[in-house]
Amino acid sequence: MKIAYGAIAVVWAAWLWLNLTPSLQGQRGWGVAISTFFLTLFLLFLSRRGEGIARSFTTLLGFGYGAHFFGDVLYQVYPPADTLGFADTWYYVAYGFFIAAGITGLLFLAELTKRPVTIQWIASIAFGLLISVVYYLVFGQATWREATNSIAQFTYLLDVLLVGMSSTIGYLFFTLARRSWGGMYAQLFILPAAGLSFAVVADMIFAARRSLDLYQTGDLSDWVRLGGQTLILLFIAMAE
Amino acid sequence: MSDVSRLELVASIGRALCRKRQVIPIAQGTAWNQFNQAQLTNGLLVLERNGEHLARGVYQAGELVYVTARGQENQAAIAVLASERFDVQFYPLDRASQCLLLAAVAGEVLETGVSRVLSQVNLVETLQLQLFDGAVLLELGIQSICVRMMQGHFECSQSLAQTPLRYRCTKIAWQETKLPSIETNAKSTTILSSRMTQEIPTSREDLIFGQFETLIRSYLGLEASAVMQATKAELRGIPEQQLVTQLKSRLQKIGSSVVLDFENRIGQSS
Repeated sequence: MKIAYGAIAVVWAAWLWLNLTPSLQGQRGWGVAISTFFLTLFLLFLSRRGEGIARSFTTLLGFGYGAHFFGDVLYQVYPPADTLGFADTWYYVAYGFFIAAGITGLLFLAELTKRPVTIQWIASIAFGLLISVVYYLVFGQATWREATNSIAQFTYLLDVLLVGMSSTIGYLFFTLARRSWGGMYAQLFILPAAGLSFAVVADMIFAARRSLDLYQTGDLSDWVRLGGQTLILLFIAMAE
Repeated sequence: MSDVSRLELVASIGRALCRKRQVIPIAQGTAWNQFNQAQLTNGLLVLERNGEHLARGVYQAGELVYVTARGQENQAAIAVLASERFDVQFYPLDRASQCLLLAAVAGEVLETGVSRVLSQVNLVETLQLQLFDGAVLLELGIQSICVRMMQGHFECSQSLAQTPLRYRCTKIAWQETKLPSIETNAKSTTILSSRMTQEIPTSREDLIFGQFETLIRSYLGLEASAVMQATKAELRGIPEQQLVTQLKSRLQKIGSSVVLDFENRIGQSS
């Protein structure tokens, strides 16, 4: 089994490297979609092998990446659809699963410690909102003004909200990792936390794309997502 | 290389991201009496011999791991985890009457190993141990294993008997020489009756909580303290079987393999 995991890691690294080469300029969105697909399969496979909280956690992550995959494909097949938020809708579903995974982890701790985790929920959502607002104030106002119609403004707001959601996910996972530091579950939480935090950066880059070159920033955010996925794959290999 | 046995030790070190592996080749035909030391910290321990899993689990400071290879019960590997390092010693157990004692005191290896031969030791006779708190392994022949000692109390389960017997040493002291000593002293021991074993002696409860905490800490790290605080506040003083059931239901949230591990640790395999 370890040989199989090693082989997958090598293939993944090769894929990441390939996506960094100029030959795939402008096509990295497909690179992300393909790697997301295999990451989804891998997570779901692991969830069947795992048990308890580890199983719930990997299942939710798997569903999340499954939804993310549909969003990736939809955006690649029909990019204009995204102007109405079609692909983004799948990302919201994906991030919903990721948040559910984080909350599942918190509830697990709450049940064992008999301590409420309401504060952590609220704090994570507040953190996401704060990042969204700060992001909008720093980067978003000009883009907002440049939006030609209400649909474009709405789409942009959805992107900013995605930044907030990924920040919430990062906060949740890092909270879990901090609380379980020193235990085996810390690695279960910390690397997805790091990987999904990369998604925050990717979302920010992507949300700012209207004031930058579309292809360059699109490629960059895709590359960042690939890096995040690699970290999650690393967590899987280590947890096994 | 086919005649070479390989004892493989894998331990995760401190942080989960770092893993250290040490392979100790042991020539076939020789007992595991070579003195090997691996300096590793708490974490996952895997002991393999010729690819055969001998022990696998997550252990903490002061815990003691004991394994024997199938068909080679006269040889054993013993590992004691110290606070910051992981000392592994291998001792031959080539005489049925040999008594092997290893003590870890307050999370640190006090003695790297003291082996005494007690001929014809009868378990009904008793042993007076002069040690601090910590993990103790007492090997009588190949059957009896005692893995934990707390101040003033020594428990020993004798696996030859269907019903585990427990021995209590009423006098456990500390010697300045730091050398554990063993001597027979029937008067110093009380054999708990079967009636008494139905109750939970305080130390038994502590042992059960201790094993639960070990497992919880291995998965939840820092959060284990909060879990133990809540668990003890809720479950202290309840009958043993109820306590075990409650703790198992908590461990079930981590996984059924953890429950099995817990059962093995407290000697209640189902």
